[in-house]
Amino acid sequence: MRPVSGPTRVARCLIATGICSALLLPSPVHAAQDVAAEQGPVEDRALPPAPLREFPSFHGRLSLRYQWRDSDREQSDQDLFQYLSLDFGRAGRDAVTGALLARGVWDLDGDGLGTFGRSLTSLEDARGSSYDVRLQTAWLGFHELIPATELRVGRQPLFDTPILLHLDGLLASVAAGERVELIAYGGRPYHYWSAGHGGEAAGGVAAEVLPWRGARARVDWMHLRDATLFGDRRDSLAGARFDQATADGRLRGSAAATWLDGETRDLDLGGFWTEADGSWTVDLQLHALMSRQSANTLEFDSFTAILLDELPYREGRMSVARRFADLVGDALVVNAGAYGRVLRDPAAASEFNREYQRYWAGTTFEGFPVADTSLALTADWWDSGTDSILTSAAEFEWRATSATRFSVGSGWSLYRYDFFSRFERTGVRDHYLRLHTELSAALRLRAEVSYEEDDLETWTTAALQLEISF
Amino acid sequence: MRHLIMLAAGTGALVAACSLVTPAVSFQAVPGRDAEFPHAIHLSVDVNLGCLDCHVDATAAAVATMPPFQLCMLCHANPGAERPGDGADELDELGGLDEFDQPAPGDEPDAQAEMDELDFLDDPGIFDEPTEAATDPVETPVAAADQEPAEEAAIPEVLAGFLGADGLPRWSAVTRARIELAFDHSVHARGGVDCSSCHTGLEESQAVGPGLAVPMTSCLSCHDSRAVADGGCLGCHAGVDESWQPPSHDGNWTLVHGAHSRMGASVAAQDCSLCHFEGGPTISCAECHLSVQPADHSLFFRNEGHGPMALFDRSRCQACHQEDTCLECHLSVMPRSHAPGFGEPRNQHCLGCHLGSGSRMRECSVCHLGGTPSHAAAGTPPPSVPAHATATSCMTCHATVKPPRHPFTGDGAYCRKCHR
Repeated sequence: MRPVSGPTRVARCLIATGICSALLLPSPVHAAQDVAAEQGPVEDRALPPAPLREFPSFHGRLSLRYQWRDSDREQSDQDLFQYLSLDFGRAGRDAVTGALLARGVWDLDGDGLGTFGRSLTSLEDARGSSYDVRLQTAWLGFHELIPATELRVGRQPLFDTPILLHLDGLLASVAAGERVELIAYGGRPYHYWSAGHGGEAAGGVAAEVLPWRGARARVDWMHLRDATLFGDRRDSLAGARFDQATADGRLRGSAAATWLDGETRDLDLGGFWTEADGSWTVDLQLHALMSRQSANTLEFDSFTAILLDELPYREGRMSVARRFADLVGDALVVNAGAYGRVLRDPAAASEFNREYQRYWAGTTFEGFPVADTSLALTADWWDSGTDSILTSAAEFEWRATSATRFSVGSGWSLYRYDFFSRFERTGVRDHYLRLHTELSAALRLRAEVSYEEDDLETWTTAALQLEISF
Repeated sequence: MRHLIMLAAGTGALVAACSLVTPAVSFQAVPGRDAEFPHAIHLSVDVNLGCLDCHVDATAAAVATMPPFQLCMLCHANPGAERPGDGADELDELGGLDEFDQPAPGDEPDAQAEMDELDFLDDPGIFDEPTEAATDPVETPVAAADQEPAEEAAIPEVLAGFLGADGLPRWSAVTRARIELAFDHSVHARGGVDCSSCHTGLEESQAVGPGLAVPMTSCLSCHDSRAVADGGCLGCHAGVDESWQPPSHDGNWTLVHGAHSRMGASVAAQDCSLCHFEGGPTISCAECHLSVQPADHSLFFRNEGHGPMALFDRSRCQACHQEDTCLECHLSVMPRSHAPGFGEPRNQHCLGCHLGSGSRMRECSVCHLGGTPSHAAAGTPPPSVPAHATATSCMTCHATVKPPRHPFTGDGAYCRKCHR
């Protein structure tokens, strides 16, 4: 929602159109698959197994999403989102692999009206440009260039660290035998949903061990620094985690703990079980925040600048799912769960540190009421005594063809919360209609129209997204 | 503690309720799903058979075969005889395995037709349960008995249930390797993998049912899931390429997958990330959520609802956002409460702070650390009338003379916070 310079807009349109046109040409990968399909049945693979098929070395997706939004407050907004993902190579087969993920947001009708009192603003509007491009992932992986060593350079997510860390830097892992892996990394943290700022640094080491079948143990130490946003903050986090699964993988357990600057931060215990036929699934988790969390580096900080200190608590979570085959339609899936959080010191409960319960449930009818349709119902209730949020949703989908799906859904939310008074209530209703169709092996189209209303305002959104795979 | 007890009680009630609902048709009730073969008896101390005594090809063949029918007959045709012992030797005496040539899995007629009809692509339990197509070859004892096996006169009734129309033993749907699976049984058997490591529960089983199926999770307990995925699904599955998605992803998956992701880190790590990781062949969580926000991130949520939600569980926000996200946006986009009327001329925010509880003022201090410059000049001075200089209680007069236009509690000292 910012002014846009004319020539730049035209240039971007031409570039986007050119890329789309080029990518609409049949890709070699899909062309080869089509030829293979025409050549007849796949050979019998029984004795012995056929040689493994080569996995394509290069993948990519380019998505263009046009979105128009309108409010009954005489506000409207048009945006063009662009997403590009690329990956090439396969670890274990290729010496070099890589991945790239980028997101561009172009505010087509930036009107320069500012953001005060507007309901259609976005995070990108806070960045002072009508065109915002973020490179979310961009890394190259080098495998076995040095024996038993893997290197990954660039912007990359570290999912296995005690906290999710997006890093601009270097990750190196060395295999010490078949069951031990040593990992080290360092660089600058990167944030998906903020523009970033200088003065940050992160580094760490980890060791991962597979002591016996189904078991995995990992210890971590990581150090982060913020130097500009809130002053100079430096924190070190140590973590230990152990996972064990039974031989058939149907029962899994985990235990984890972290220590922040030498003080125990949190403890986790988890268990997961699924019945052999998948008809039952049960998940149980216990989590405890052991110490008061004050201002820390951003990756470790629990929004304390906004929500003030976070107080120690204990939390239990249980989820149950059951699948009934052939009970109603093709299948009926029911899942439900409950969370409960209690503060270590209940008397310290406050606006920003609450005890609450959360209950949720959902069910999906497959092949019901008629074949090639499905119906899903969900509900979610958060309750902390004075405040509560209740949401429910329903969605019906029709698979018109193997390549085309229509879905229509509706959701309702009731927020009862402390705003100006203790009794603020806001009801929100939203309805949508979606179309998803595969125009070809490489081309997908998504269209969506949605309508949302609350007690103060209504919005209408229409979006059209074209996704090209190559 | 009270809440935890309630939580446990509620969940227990939920589980009990689900247990009471017995599906009209279950695995146990589907004819042909369970073949009543007592592995427990055959592996017992009394009978003392080993796996390889019957499955003689398990260490040699890429796909383990069913025992030849005649091998069963070594005992069952003559119950008083000693156990077969070395099955291979017995087979040699009987003329070798070719004598009992039978269709091995995948060698059965029209394998491609079966491949085409494999319902595993439509079956949510692809990795856990048998497919309808795979179930078909299993005959019920009654059905098989009606089909007049080739050597009907010599077949004890107890074996009849395992024979197909051709009189040969048939594979169970749940233990037969799928023909689309690139799996070499002999490599595993010769590699020191104990039979019971994968075929769990055989020692106690009385029937070959879904409980004996070897799920993919069993493979992944040895094979690192990330390494498998890096090799591509095609490394093991002929029919699973980058465009394939599990049956569970059909239908309303977009709406309900959040519940699945709440099944703990172990599920997300082992199930979701098997296919969905950055640099992998399928769309990653991050890539999708860059364009499709979580279902509850409605426009209302973006404008207002995220605040109350963050008060419940701030860690939920932390899954994607750091604190600088809040600051970056709110430095430009004021909270929804700061609507017209919040400031001049109505100045509703004054009442929000000064007449509410202490929490009101704390909310302001989130952004307005140390107060705002406007506050220094915001006070409405008392009129320059001598009585105002000495009056100690404003409401002595203003309860009736020019009463305040805003709600009022307190005494003169309270008034003078603003009317200095």
